[in-house]
Amino acid sequence: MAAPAVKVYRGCSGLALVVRRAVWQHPGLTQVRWSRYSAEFKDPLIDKEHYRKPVEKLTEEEKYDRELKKTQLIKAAPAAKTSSVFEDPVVSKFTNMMMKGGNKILARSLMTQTLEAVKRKQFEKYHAASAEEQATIERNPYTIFHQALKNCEPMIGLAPVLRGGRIYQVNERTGQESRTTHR
Amino acid sequence: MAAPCMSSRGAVSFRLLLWGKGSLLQKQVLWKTMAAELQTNVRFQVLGLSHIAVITRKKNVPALKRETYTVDFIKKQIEEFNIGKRHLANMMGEDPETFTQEDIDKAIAYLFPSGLFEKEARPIMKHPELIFPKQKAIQWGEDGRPFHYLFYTGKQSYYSLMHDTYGMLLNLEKRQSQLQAKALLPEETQTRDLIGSRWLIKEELEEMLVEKLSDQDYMQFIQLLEKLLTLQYSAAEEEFVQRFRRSVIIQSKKQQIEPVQYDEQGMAFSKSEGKRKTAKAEAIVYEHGSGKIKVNGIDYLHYFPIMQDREQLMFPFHFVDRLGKHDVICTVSGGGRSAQAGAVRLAMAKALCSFLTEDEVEWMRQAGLLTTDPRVRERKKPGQEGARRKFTWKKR
Repeated sequence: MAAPAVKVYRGCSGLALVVRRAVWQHPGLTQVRWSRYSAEFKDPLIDKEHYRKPVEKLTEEEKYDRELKKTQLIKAAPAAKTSSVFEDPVVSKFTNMMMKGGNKILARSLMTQTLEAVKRKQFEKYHAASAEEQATIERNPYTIFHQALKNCEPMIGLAPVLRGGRIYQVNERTGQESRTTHR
Repeated sequence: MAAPCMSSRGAVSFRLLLWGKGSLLQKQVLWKTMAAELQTNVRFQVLGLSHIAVITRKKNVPALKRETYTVDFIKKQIEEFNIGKRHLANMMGEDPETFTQEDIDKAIAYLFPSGLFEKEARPIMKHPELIFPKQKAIQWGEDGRPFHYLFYTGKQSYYSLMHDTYGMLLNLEKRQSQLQAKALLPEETQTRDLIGSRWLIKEELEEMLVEKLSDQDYMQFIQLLEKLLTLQYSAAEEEFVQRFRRSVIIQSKKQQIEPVQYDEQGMAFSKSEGKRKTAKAEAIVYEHGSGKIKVNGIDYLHYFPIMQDREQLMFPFHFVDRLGKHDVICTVSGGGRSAQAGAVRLAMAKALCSFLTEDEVEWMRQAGLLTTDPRVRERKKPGQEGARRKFTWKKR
């Protein structure tokens, strides 16, 4: 074969031992959700460091995965993703959720204006504060944003508990008790 | 000049396609092309291949039998096909020795032009092996006793294959334990190429054995083969296992890399096209430059005032660390603002491939920069308000 030989090891032959058929058959079920891509297309991976890693530092599994990837078809990269260092997946997700009616321009401009406003406020505080306080003031708007999202996560949730043969949904702490507030 | 393949002798024209047989060829060709690109569990749209079996309740009506072809009949067909092939080559003025199947197809399309829409209904001339379904010879002798010792299992080829494979596995295990006892086990594990090939799919195995298999049978067999792979084996077993593996293409080899061209000043450049939704773009990437991009004669800063579009233009260059090193001139038409940006991105990425190493091209492919996005606007359906949105449901 064109690809170089790889050592065999159990469980990594990438098969999952599912019956391979050419046409999907299932009695009584028809497909209603379809995609323009056929099923064998895999999602793209946009990470420069991942590809630049030298071959010697890869583990066996990673080498195998790389060789396997060469035989797979890959989907096109989405229109809002780049390899830029300024891109934050959490911020992108938030922008998309803010978007109404497909107006990405407005959503993104609002997001950038918000982050800019946060940064300005923090800088004003920084310049007005004394030397010891300056060390505690966080000026990176992205860290503040991430921490704000974490703070919004719920502190209690429901967990199923089995008592007397019945399952009750009981309130329990989710372990999100460490909250930080930036000045 | 005698032309037996053109004459209409009695029941001779099996070489040319018969309409009833076409469905089998179509089915085989269909799943063979699908299987060639298979890696993991696949879901395709359910196709409308259904065979309707008619069961009549009247008496004195013979049951529908599968047509059986005798071995002599098939042999005769093959002879006639070969003779017909030579006559056809003579007719077309080609050399009969080097007349391939593609030449046959072209010749038939030329001599029998068909305006039929359905491709499978047009005349074809293929080897009888492809037209007539593979059938088993009579499994028993004149006295009624079957030849194969596993005949009464119902799936004799499958079970005998399982039996052979398992026997091989036991032998290997015994050999390995003997070597281990004598401490003569070779330390290095054998390296095998697992990525460039895949196991047979169920349909292929069924075709190989000429028997219907169930899913569990197929899984059992593949599990046995997997187990065989973990042991150390020699050339004979290797050959046995390779019979059940099919090769898988390395996708990066399929990528078309544009050749580098030179303009009047001697500057090296590469041209490529890209499209997204209804936007079509053509990009010319110069090998040496300072990062200037001109779109439809306008600077990219003015043509794409939105930051997201400019990020998309920058993406291919930033990915391979060549941000300010190339000049680009491109033209784009159709689509909206985001579609045009996507089309230009694709065109630039494809053109850039000419100046990159093979590894970098493969990285770009895996990052999704070299695939044309097939997503287009879904049509509106009648009875619905949009493509997916239904009209407001009113109870009464």
